[in-house]
Amino acid sequence: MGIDRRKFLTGLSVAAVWPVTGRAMRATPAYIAACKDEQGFAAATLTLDGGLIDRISLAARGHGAAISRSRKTAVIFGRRPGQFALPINLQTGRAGPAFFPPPDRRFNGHGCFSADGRYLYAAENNFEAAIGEIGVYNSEDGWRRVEVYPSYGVGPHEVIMLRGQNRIAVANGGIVTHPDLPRQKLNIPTMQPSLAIIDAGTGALVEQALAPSTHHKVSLRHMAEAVNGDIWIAGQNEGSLDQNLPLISVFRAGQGLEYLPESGAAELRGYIGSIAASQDGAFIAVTSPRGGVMQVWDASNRTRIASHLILDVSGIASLSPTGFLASDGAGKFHSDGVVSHVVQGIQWDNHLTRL
Amino acid sequence: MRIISALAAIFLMITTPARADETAMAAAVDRALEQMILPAYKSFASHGAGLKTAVDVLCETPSAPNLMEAKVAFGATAMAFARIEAFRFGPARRDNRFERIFYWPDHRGRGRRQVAGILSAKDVSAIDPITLKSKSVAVQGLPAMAVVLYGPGNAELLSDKQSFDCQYAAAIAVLLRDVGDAFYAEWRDAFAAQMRSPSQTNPFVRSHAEALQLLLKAAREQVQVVADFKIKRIVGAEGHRPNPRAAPLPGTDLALSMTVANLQAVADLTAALHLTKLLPEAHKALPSEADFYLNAGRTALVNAMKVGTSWPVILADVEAQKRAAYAAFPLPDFVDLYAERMPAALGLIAGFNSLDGD
Repeated sequence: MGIDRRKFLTGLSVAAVWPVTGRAMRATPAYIAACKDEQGFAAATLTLDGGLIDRISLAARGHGAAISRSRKTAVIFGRRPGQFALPINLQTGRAGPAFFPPPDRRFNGHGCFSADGRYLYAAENNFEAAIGEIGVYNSEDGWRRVEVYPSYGVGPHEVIMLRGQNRIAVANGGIVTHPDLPRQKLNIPTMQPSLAIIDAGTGALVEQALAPSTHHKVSLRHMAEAVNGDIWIAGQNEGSLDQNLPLISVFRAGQGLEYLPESGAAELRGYIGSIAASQDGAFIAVTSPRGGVMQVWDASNRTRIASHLILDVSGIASLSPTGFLASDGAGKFHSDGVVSHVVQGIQWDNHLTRL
Repeated sequence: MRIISALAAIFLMITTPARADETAMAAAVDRALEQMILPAYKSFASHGAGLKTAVDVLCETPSAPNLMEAKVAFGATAMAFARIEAFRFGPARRDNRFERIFYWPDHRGRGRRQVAGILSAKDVSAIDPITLKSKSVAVQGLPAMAVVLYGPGNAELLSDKQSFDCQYAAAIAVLLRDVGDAFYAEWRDAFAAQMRSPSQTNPFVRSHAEALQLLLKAAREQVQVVADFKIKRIVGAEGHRPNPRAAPLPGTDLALSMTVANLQAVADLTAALHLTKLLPEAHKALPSEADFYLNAGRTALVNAMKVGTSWPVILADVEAQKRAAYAAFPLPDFVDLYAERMPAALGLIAGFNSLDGD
């Protein structure tokens, strides 16, 4: 049923930006995250230790953020089925105006910028055709949608620009959804997740890896690129949890997906909310809010090296060359598993993005 | 009410009460299993067997009374399913059981088209339960059976002994019975024990609190599905046109009764949990408040049904349509209460991220 589109767009026009710190004292943002507080849904820019810089009101729940290579612009997406994307000037903290997908499309909560920062690639749901698409928006032309690529799958979720390449990786979750039936998963018995590597300039498919039939109920959703170019993919199990299906798979060009058996451990509860690489790319961290756990993996030998118990943890981002900052639904930040900062009255949402 | 709920939830987050002890939560889960869940699964299995028998009789002796008996058995099976529909975890997620029983919402009418294709082509692979099971989940459950028994082509059911349509219905009945048996057996013999025996290696629950949360979530999600998809979407709320075809099992007159049964099942589940026993003194009124929202929604639907039991009849009557539309208003307050205030008052983690991730 959702929100009436016209009312929704009207609501966006009054979205407010509230700088939390004084303009003259404004610190340099290090992270951005969607959140919820007593005033509603918002995006927040944060210092390196999790201190609040800007609070930007959102008309609906936010999800992921795309960051331009220059780190001057962030775009926060509405949560799936998303009806808005909101650009934020990271130097001033000012936001807007929002831009929108075509009426017969919805954002799926994630996107990424081209290397030169000009184009934004947004994961979209063409819901009448039940196919995934990547909308290409020109940041220098009023965020006009200038191109559309197939995502080469259904339900594209996270999209990342691969380092040193003009290619994007798309995690196609494989799940058919429709905005008339928000959050309902319409094809679980036949879902087919995949990873697609797409030429960012032409939209051509470079390589595709399909989840095998034994693992087709693990929806591929979020990604992080390790220093060696491996793409780590975090999944969510839509099947029976006692099958202990691995949730983490690693893609290496030409070698398809390798599922890591240890990631089927019960502590993840069949669900990974976020994944991130450390600054040096040598380590990968994943979070499971349902399991209340954050895991750290060694990207070189694909083994788990640590687990930290953190209630309702979900956001994860690099903190230092080898460390991670995690956020939870109770307003807390955790540096490598230890509480480092608390923002009272805020619930940190699914993702924490390093600027 | 929503603002009050949100403020109350924030207050509860700040002043989170001590969690009810694990023993009390274990007892609550045990009551839910014994008083509501296991009997509901047993009933569904029993009605599935009854449906198989009724369809076999119809196939062997086609007649209007026997078709009516088959429809009565089908209705009883559908109503029994409405009482287990909330439990979409554990055994429901194995072997596509849930979707094999209840492929809904059928957003694009795919299931109906597939069933129509089987009937028009007289696809013999659909009358063998073994080969039918390998087909689309959309052609082997309650919605498929509804098309056969209530569809325009059911004249064959009245005239021809062992007609193709009837043999297809019989194959569906076998699968429904088998899934019902498997469901009940797994809950009774294994899953209930897992719900009662949480541990770090238990794939479903690590604590009695998690088991309780699983049931609270089931209640919340069932009420949300009822409000959003089984009422608002049908009556045409928020500027949308009424759409009776979007209701489950169109053409059967069962959708409204099943929806009322969904809400009654949640009421019975929460009554069995007897959460008042677990709540601290300051929050002992929460179950009554939740019951109020649930009852208000259910009563509005029942009142709407005084003019008839089918959606088309209700949507044709302005007053009945208003009553049905009203039913969706109090239910989101139940959802909010079970998402935030109730878990917080029980000392459970409300779980902004764990409750509803992406």
